[in-house]
Amino acid sequence: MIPARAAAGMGTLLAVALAAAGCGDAHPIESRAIVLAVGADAGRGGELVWTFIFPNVTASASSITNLTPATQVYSTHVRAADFASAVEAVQDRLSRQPYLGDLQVLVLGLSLPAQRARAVVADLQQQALVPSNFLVAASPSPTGHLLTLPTAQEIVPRYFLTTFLACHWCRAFDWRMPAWEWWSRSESPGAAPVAPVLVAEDGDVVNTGVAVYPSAGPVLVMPPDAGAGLAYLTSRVTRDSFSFSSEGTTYTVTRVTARTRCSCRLTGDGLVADVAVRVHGQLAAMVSENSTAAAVRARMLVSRYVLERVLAALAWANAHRVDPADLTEKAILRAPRLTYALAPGSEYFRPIAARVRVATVVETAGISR
Amino acid sequence: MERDLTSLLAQCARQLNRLDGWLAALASKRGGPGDPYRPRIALVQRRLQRIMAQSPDVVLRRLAPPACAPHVALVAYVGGLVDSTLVESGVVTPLLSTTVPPSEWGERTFGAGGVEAVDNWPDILARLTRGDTLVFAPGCPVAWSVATARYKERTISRPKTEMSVRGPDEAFTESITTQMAQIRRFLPRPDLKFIPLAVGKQQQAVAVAYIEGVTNPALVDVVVDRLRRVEVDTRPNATAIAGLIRDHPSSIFPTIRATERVGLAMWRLAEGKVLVLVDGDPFVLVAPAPLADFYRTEMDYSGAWYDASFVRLIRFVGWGIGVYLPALYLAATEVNLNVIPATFLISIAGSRSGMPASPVTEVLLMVLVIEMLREAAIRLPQVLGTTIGTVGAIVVGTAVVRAGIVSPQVIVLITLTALSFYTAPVYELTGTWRLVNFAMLSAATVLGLEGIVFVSMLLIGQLCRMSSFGVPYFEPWAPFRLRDWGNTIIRLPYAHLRRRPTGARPLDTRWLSPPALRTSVHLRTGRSGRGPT
Repeated sequence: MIPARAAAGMGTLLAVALAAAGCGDAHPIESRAIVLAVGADAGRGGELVWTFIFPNVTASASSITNLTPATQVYSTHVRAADFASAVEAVQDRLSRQPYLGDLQVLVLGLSLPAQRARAVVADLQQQALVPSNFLVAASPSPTGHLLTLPTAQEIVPRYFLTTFLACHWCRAFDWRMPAWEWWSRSESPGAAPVAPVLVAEDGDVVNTGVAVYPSAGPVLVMPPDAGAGLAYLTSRVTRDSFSFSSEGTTYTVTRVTARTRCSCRLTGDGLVADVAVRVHGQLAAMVSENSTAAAVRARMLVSRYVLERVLAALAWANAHRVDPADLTEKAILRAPRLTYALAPGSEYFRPIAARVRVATVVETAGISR
Repeated sequence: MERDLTSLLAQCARQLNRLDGWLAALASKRGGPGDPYRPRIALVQRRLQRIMAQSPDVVLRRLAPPACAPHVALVAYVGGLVDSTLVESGVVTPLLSTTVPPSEWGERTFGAGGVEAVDNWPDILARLTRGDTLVFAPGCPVAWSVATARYKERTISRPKTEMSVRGPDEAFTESITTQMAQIRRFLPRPDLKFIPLAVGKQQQAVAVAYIEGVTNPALVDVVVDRLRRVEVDTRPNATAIAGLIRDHPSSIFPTIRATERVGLAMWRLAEGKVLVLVDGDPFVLVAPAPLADFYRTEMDYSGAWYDASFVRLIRFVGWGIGVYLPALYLAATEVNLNVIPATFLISIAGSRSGMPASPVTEVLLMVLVIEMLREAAIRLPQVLGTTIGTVGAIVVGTAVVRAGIVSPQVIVLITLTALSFYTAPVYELTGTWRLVNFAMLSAATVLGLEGIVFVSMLLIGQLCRMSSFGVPYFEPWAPFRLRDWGNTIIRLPYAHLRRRPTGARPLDTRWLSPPALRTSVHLRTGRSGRGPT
């Protein structure tokens, strides 16, 4: 026999649990449509064209071999001014309720103005049901073409674009940027978020550059050299490699990684940065001369190569008055008064005068090559 | 006329019977012996015939011993319960040759041992039904009871419910004397004590075993006191006695353990616990029995320490899977979709496409099927049980999926769960966790993860509240006794098991004497100067 007090206590606990669980509007898995990716392109009349990507609901472990790559995901396009309206519009077209808890990729069309793109990411950030770790990428419009690209490289339940972006050891530079980091940089004065530009070519996805989102104006795409320099400036080099020819000898340096430290301060008319880049690589190609001498020569060539690209990135930033390397943000954080004076997302740029030092270590490849 | 007389006699006999009953009831209420024995042989014989309803196995023999001449003596015993040779040689033959007056008979007269004088009818009847031979002599104010019981007893066999692949493989038998002998053989020490008790109205023979100087006397007193308070009209078995003396008798958690393994009983005695032996039941009760005790088997002490430790951890993992896995699946698919990784979520969603029933219906259906298969497998003969189990597995595992009634993931899930439950070494606990699992399923379906947390909190609260013969039921987790973890969660090497578990509050906590820990000088290895020379 349960005492009355205990029964009352349990009843109260149960009532609180029911009220606090928020499970009143929870729907089981069979009535949800899982959204894997979202694309946003510029539309007419201030509206955006939204693309929602869903996995094929009939794709199970036993049926997967019967599905062609083109039928593994399906998309729905809607026009809406903001994300919440877009979700409602999609819901009207589906037999299931969209489930955004597993959103993995957001592709922003390059046709979107930078300010609008920032607003889209901020909009998604504010959705409580959307996780903040989805990856942001950019693509020439329309994004739907990239999002539904049929490929045999991945099959459901994995989504190709997710694994493509997440594979940071597959490419020379790691441009992954989760939404929370992208949004944080878009809100920080002096910082500009970036996104890899992905293009569908011949059934494959190619990373053609880096898109920079200033606080106003169009989206800027960095040229390849400046993009590589930005990667060295922001320690995003994971597996770079290059070859040089010098005095009739070809040097190939692989597995290049870099770590960069910047010391930045604001002066009266600009920003002074002291940049130290530490590069590490392996000399891959066999050379005829003494291996130590080859390593010394390769080290000089690599240092020069990296320095040129870092300077190219800084020159591009000064030319476009935008700082994708976040040097300005670092300098602002050293000046507390300025930090409090600037509003979130406000534009702030000072010409960058940088002293760049590159220290390179090139190892001759040993048996582990 | 003759018919009337016959019916009158029958009525008188019935009335006499009722009168006997009332007298016995009155005597038992007074608490005294009551209903005293009176040495009138004819009346004794009539009364025995009436009480035993002329049962064919009750033998009443009228003998003419010289000591009683010219009268006769009456010998009574139950045919199937006594050693007939012993009756003849130890009772009948001495009786026919003795000239000692009946009131002076005793062990000198009878060849058999265990001779006692009885002076009241309840004792006489109890001893008769227990297998003693009763001798009634005219003019002697007492009846003589000679211990001649000899039951048909099965031989010592292997345990049927607690399997082991290594170590002693001996199970208790039904006879309490054999049980005591088995324990003595495993623990041949003079401080091993047995307290004999007669429990209930049927005077069920029960013994409390403990090691003097190790077991806490307060624990022995509590067990003995509770056993003495048992008032049950039938002959209780070990389960009934366990249910009557244990703490929290209404709880679904067992607070006293039953074992049929002699080795395990020996280990528990050595830890300072108490055994309750019940005549007629091959299961011996171990008290106290906190929850962790149910996860320790005898094989843990027969195998290598690392293997035993790993297996113990696996049991706890099995518990976690059994109790939480189906509930987590339901919570994740019905309420909290965001806790599942995307790839797994898509996979689940894909496998559920085309399924007519919801996950909760599928899980409940499969749980029901598993329970029915389990029950059927127990009831059926062994050969048929295996067949049914195999057929059931094939039919349920394959056909149900192909028929589109249940998704393959639910099949995997429920099979894992069913297997996990049986990692608990004690069967009673398996049933308990199945019930907890149902509570978890219900809470997870309605409240999701929050419901699972809610039920878990209730469960932990309840376990912390309970006790077993004064020992906290959830120890060594709560209260937190890290020292006991070495012989509970894992099994440390014997060289490190220096102390007994503290749960039963043994008087002597040292299990391994310090000198045994010292390595011989000749066996030491290591740095120079300390190694063998």
